[in-house]
Amino acid sequence: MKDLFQLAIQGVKQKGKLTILMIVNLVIGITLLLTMSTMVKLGGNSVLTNKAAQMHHFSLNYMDSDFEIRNQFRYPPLTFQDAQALKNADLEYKHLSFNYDTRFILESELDNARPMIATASASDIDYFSVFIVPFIYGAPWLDTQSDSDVIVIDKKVNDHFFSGENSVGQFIKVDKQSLKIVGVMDLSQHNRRISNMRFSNRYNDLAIVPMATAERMNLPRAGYMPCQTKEETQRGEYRQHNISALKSAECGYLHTWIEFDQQNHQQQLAAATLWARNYTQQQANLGRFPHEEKYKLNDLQLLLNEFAQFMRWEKVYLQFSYLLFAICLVNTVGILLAKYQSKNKLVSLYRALGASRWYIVKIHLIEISLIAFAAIIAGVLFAHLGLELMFQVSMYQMDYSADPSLVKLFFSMDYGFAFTSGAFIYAAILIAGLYPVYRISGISPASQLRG
Amino acid sequence: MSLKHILKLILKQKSISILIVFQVAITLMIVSNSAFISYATLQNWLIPSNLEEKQILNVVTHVYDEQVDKGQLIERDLAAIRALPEVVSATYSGEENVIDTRRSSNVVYSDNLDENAKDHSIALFGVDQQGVGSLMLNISSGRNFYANEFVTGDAETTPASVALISDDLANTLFEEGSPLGQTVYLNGSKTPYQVVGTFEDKMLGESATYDQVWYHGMVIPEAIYGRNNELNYIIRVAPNTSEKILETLETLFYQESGRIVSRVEFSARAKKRLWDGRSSFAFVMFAISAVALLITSLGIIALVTFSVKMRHKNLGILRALGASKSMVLKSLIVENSLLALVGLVLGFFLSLWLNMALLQTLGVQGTPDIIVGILVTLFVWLLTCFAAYLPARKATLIAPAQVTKAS
Repeated sequence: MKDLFQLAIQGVKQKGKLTILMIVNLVIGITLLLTMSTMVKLGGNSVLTNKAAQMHHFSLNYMDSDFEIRNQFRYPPLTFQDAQALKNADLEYKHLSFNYDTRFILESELDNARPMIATASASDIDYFSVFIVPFIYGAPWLDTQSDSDVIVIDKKVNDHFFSGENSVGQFIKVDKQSLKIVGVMDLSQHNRRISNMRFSNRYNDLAIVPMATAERMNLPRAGYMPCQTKEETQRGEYRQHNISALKSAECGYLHTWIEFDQQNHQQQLAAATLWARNYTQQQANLGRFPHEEKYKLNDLQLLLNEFAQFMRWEKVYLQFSYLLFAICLVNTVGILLAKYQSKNKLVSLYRALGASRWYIVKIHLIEISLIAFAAIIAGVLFAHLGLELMFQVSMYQMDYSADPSLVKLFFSMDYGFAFTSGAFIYAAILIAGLYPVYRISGISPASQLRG
Repeated sequence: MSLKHILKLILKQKSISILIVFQVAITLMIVSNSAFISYATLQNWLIPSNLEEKQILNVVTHVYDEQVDKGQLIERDLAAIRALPEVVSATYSGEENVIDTRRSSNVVYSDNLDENAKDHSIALFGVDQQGVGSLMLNISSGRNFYANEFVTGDAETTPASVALISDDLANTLFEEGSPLGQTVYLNGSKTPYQVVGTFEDKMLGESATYDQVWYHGMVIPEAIYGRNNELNYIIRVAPNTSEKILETLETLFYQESGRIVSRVEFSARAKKRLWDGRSSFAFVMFAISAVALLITSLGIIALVTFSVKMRHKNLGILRALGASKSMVLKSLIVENSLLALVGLVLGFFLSLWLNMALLQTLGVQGTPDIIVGILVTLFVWLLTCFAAYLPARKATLIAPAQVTKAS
């Protein structure tokens, strides 16, 4: 074996310029392929992926018959009345959580930092379990505090107003009213804001307040809030001021997530679907739910896959990368043919000295493996650079208005993925090298030794 | 060597020939489409804004404290801004900011009776007495506003009655007729304004630019606040003012409590935002094209090297029979050029296919431009020739004696 390696290394060194050409050619292709494929792969990732099949967005389509659902993310949130009905239904699930999208101004009690606009959610306590919210200080509010003046803030808010110190127990002003901080969460690994169905990678929740508190404080309803045509003129009022009128209106603002037990997922989903069917049928008799598709329980995995479809540009880049990698493989064949052409005499000599054809094949496969390995390692290193460049392009594209730490999550090296891709790339290079190896191994003994 | 012989040689080395053709075709497909997209973006970039992009600043602030008297705050803000040494003039901006549509896009009509009258997208500026100066507008016909034509106040204030419009908008609305004294009607409410003057064209509007009427602009002497929580300003600073002014202004605005400063920027930044999406796509496609060209060059070098090595003896015999170095070089270059030509023809069709595919999947299309297409084709061809030249030159060094010795 040792002699095989020595001969292979010798082969790598022979015609060094062509070896370097081959490595450069492969490194370029691998860098581009790894950069683009990592981007597309990370684009469909979420920290919730492990339970994405059990999590469902619950929607009932109460809208007018001419309302068109343009994509999976535009199913209406629940109206208050429908949310109450669902809450009171006799269903089994792991968690049921309601939230609405809001934004408000955060200010320091001590006036020691500039105020900031917070994208936030008004939610129930189940929100923290459904979205696996990690805490660095404190915890979610208690059940008994669901109507209290309390708030959970994100680490970024904590850094801004409290210099990163533990702020649990301190107060922060939300739209001029003081709320007590009960927990500091860290959503830095949550690459998308899923709770409001926007799947935005620009900003995540900077704060979460109990739903009842948000209603009492009249924190605005900021997100997607479709209303029936008859309510349309009141929509602005519902968003900003009149929460009590909104509660009886045909306007959906409560995003509803239901998580089923992993064990009884299918049964619980079937029961929830049956409830949705019966409820909408019963309501249809009262003149509501004119659409044929009256309810929708989309699971998170489907939504993540669907969202990945929106990465059209990245996919074009990836297609081009595949094409270019294919050209690189063609080049590899060409370079190996050129490299081995000058080895004809040597191989002929080996064969004359008794080396079998299989022995020649092994030498050259090891030689190609060494080159491929070096190219893959270099390709992974350069892909770091590629991802950094694409991160900069992405920030430029967003005019630097997004949270860079959130965007960065989509442009970080995923070593597990890189390892798997590396294995495929290695196999592809080896397959591409088979033809030149077949040619060189076919040289008959002493055929080249005349001259 | 005759063309016939070169063609025979190409056919003899089918696999190498196919590989070269394939590479050139794919490269042309990628590079030409990148060039078309980049060119379309470049054309956008090259539209002259006629705007003093490093002298005009946009400021966007949100007042969240309902106790704040917005009218008084505007007065205090303007006094503080105008007191800064770098500031030449400043205006409250009640409608759009420069290349930054705020509340909604604006349209104007030349007829208020015809329900089907065409609406024309515009950049609309509601400004105070320093507005025209702050936007650095040059009056091209008619007059500037009189002091008594300005109105200031909250949302209930009666609108002004006069307007200045850009030359381009005047041409669109009134064609050859004089716009002076004519009435234009603003937005759905069809609020009438009499045109008292026109100004030289400037790229001022975000929505207007997206609607490809980059010079459609209208200025009204209205500093009306309270339609929403925004209090915005347009500031003109002295030439060569550094970026430090941005932080100075932000700090100044935060001295008043009850508001958030969302944006303080040179209008150059607002202009950059216009093409961010397309230009970043163009950047990446440009980089991919560069990689494609590099890889293809490496590939052709490798394949021609192999081809030359395969024909080592033939080339030696050719030299022994009296072919000069330049003849050998020429035959190899011609051979490669013919292959490249086939690749370019194939690449042409692939390019058209990709262009359509990009339009269907992305909605992005760099409209094929003949000049750009020819330039890209020439460039790819020259590059393949150069790539072939490197190993071909080496082939000319084969000594005739080497081959005759061997045989």
